[in-house]
Amino acid sequence: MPPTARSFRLLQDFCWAVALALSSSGCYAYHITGNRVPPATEARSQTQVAYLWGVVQPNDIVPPNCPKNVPLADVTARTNLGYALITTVTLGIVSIHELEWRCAKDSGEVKVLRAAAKGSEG
Amino acid sequence: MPKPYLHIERNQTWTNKHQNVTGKVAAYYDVWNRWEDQSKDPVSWRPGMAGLQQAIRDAEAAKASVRAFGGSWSLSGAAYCPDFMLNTKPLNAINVGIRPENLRAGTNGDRLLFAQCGASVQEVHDTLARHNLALKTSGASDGQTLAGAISTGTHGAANQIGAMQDSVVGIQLLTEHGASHWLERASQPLVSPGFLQLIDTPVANHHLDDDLFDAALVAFGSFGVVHAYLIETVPLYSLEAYSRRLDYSQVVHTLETLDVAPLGLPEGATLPYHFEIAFNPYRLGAGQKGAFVRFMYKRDGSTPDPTTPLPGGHRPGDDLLGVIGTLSDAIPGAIPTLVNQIMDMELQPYEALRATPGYTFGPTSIRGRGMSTEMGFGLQHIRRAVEIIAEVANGFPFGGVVAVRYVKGSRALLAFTQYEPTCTVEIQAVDSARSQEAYERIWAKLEDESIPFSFHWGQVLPYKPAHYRWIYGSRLERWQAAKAKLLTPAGRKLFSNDLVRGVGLE
Repeated sequence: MPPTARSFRLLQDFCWAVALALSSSGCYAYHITGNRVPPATEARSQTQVAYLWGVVQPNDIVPPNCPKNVPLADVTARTNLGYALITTVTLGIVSIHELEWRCAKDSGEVKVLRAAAKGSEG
Repeated sequence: MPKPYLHIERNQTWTNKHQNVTGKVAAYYDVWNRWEDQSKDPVSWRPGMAGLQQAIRDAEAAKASVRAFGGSWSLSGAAYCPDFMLNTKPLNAINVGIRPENLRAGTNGDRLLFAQCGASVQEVHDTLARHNLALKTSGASDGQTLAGAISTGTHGAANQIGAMQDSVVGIQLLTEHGASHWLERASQPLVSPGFLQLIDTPVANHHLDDDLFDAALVAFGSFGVVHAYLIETVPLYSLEAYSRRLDYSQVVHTLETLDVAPLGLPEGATLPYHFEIAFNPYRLGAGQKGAFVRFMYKRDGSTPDPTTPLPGGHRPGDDLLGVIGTLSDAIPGAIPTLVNQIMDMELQPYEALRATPGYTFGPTSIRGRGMSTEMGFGLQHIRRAVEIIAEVANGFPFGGVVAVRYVKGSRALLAFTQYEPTCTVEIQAVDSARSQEAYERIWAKLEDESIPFSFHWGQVLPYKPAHYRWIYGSRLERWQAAKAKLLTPAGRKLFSNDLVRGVGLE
């Protein structure tokens, strides 16, 4: 194969590969994570839509998988190329984000085996 | 007793941390240390234990299999089951120091740790450090739960210590109908009847049996659901870490002998507490500096906690590994350059960085698709094994890097660190069909040359029962006999999954 044809083929391969990679990805992600706060749950998410440049916004999410008084370990906000296009095409009237969270754990350290009187608590 | 609080989701999709294992789950349970009204108990683990027992009974009633999982760290199918999956991460009760009345006469419990299955390695590190104690060893990162890490044989590179399971001295297992069992070695009995009462375990279910204990240590969920462990700890120490870059030819003697004298380390011929060598398989030639030696000396006492990292700036995106995987499948010719760039960027040399184990091995915030396989070799085979990996990589480039660590042989019957010492070879790679193909070529070539090697149960491995029979031999038979002592055939099926069946262990 002459060098020009080879270069063209290589460029073609590269373009296909980049297109393939982008189609399988293309997510923008923003994370908030607690300092040494391990998660108790797997990630759960909801897609949220705000309208009219934020004049109408979605209700707060109260994570249904976190028990009472359990805070969040981390939060991720995601958007992607498709959502960004929708926002552009609608001139900002529709804005879509996916919000993902993981619940934190209850406090772990206990003193039962050390502090309990013999026979009590067990 | 009140009912436990369980958050149940039907037909949920579960994906592991590294995103290379995913599947539908008919019944997904979050199990918490709370009663149904979400209140807690003075004995904090009791609701969680009741929750696990309830979930096991639910699975039996549905004639289904059940599997507990933790940090979702495993890259094999160890944690996955399509029927019932129990998230144990909320079960994190940790008790440091055991009172004398809970132990046999003459046993000192000051350095014993009682921890529930879902306590993460990071939580355990942090809690122990507050008591001036530490785990003897852990894995390279700290996001796994104790049960996930221990039951798959997770290890570090503390060559005189062993893997994580080698510090365990007691196991609480929940089996058929949720029955609670306490396992110890007959050669190392520790607890008193008072302790059994505290963990709601009948005296009749107290097993003092070396083989049963050594079998259940590394059983990846197939002996039942692990509820808690008793673990030996040591006074808090810190690790003085170094990373140096050398030529392959400079480290090859050490690689196959563990004689570090020629390396010119700060303490000469003394083998550091932690010793590992990472290789760039595309740069093993003279002058290419393709070997990265990372070693750590153990020092007494603590160090101040480092400041919180990542105050701003940017990092590689969550999808980058996936993009690289796709690109590498499409343009394999670019892989060696890519690996060179990544290793140059990620493995910077450093000298005498000191931190406690909890900060040396964590925290980890892995995101994105990746895969990894890890094999165990005897010292006499390690050089040839590394060369085979390099040969495969250079003939069939894939986006992977190689790390060799040294671990003391384990008593656990199915520990993959069964050789004395075991050289573990981990090949981390981007998740792609090409990486999988490269793994298979490496495994086939090792078998062609009759080099015996084991597989880490928590990493990518082949479903070839004959291989495991060859490697474990009578240890595997003893493991199966121990399981049959504890579980009926129905119980063995209840706690089985594709991996257990695939490797011929049901």
